[in-house]
Amino acid sequence: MAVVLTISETVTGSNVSDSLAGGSVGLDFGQVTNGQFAPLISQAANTGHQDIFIRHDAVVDPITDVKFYISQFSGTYGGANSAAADFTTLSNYGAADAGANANNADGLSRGLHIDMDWQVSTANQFSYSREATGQKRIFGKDYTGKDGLSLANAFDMHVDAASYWNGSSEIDATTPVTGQIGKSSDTVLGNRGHIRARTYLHTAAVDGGILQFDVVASYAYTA
Amino acid sequence: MSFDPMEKLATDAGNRWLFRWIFHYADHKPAKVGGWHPAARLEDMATVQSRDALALVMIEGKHFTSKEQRYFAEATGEDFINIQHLAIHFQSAGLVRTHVYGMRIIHRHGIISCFENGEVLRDDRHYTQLNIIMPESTRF
Repeated sequence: MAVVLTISETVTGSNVSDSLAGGSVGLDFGQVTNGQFAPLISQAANTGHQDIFIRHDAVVDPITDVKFYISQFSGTYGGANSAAADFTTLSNYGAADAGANANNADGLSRGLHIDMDWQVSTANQFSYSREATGQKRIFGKDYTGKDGLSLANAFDMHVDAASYWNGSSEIDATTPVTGQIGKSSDTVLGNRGHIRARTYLHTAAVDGGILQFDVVASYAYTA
Repeated sequence: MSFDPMEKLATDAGNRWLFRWIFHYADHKPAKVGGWHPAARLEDMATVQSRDALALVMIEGKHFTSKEQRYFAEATGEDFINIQHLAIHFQSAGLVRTHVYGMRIIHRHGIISCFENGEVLRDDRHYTQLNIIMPESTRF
């Protein structure tokens, strides 16, 4: 039996199902303005993010080697350029990210950022200081050889992304392990990954229109 | 954004391998053989099989188009930990799928991974109890 993931916007939700330009189904981050980020509530307060939950239906063992990378959009393209060009744009954004402020106050942040700590405070979420701990990653940016642009260079799911849903609330996994998500009853590893994501645009960005890309989750399972 | 894997793991559609595991036992019990991936039933999964007197664990591949079958990797039953399937989450047009792109042997003395494009990789630990039968490509 294959072990299947569910990737949702809410802790117990179904797979992401936003309608995308072009007709495909996925996750819509919304519009981002130059010098800001999306989803955005308050730039000054550093609030607004997209929750992404990852869980699975294994019945024997946890899944391991949970990693994330981006690739060219594989749905029916409905963006402003082409799927290949969008992937290049997003990759280049990550490689060129020069920001220093989580809220893009300096207008130099760009690309797709993830914060793999489900309990991070509002003040600290997406802070650049969290790159050193592996909690924050920017797709396309080089982290000692890992840039999140291919399966071989995918970003490991950080231990702080592991949480346990006990049926009524989300609590911390007691002893999480990098890249592992336990079965539904596993309080030690947790029974889901919970990450936060944002898309950033630098002040000097010139590309307009919809950007489409894939985020791929890879993993290993027994049953 | 969607969660579709666009990266093509096989070099082309015709050059693709399916894998299954084989357990050989030392006490003359018949060998147990898993299904070609992705196996549909829990009883076909390696993780639920007996480890008593397990002598040898093998990964066998079958070419998707030519149907040629050959062994890719083997490891001693002693210190064998598990067989894992390597997968990516696949969601397209609202349908959720799992694409299995390889299989690997987890062993106390190392890991051998077999990929659908025919590549076999192993980590750089101890080789005496794990053997790659197919020609080796790059290592981890």
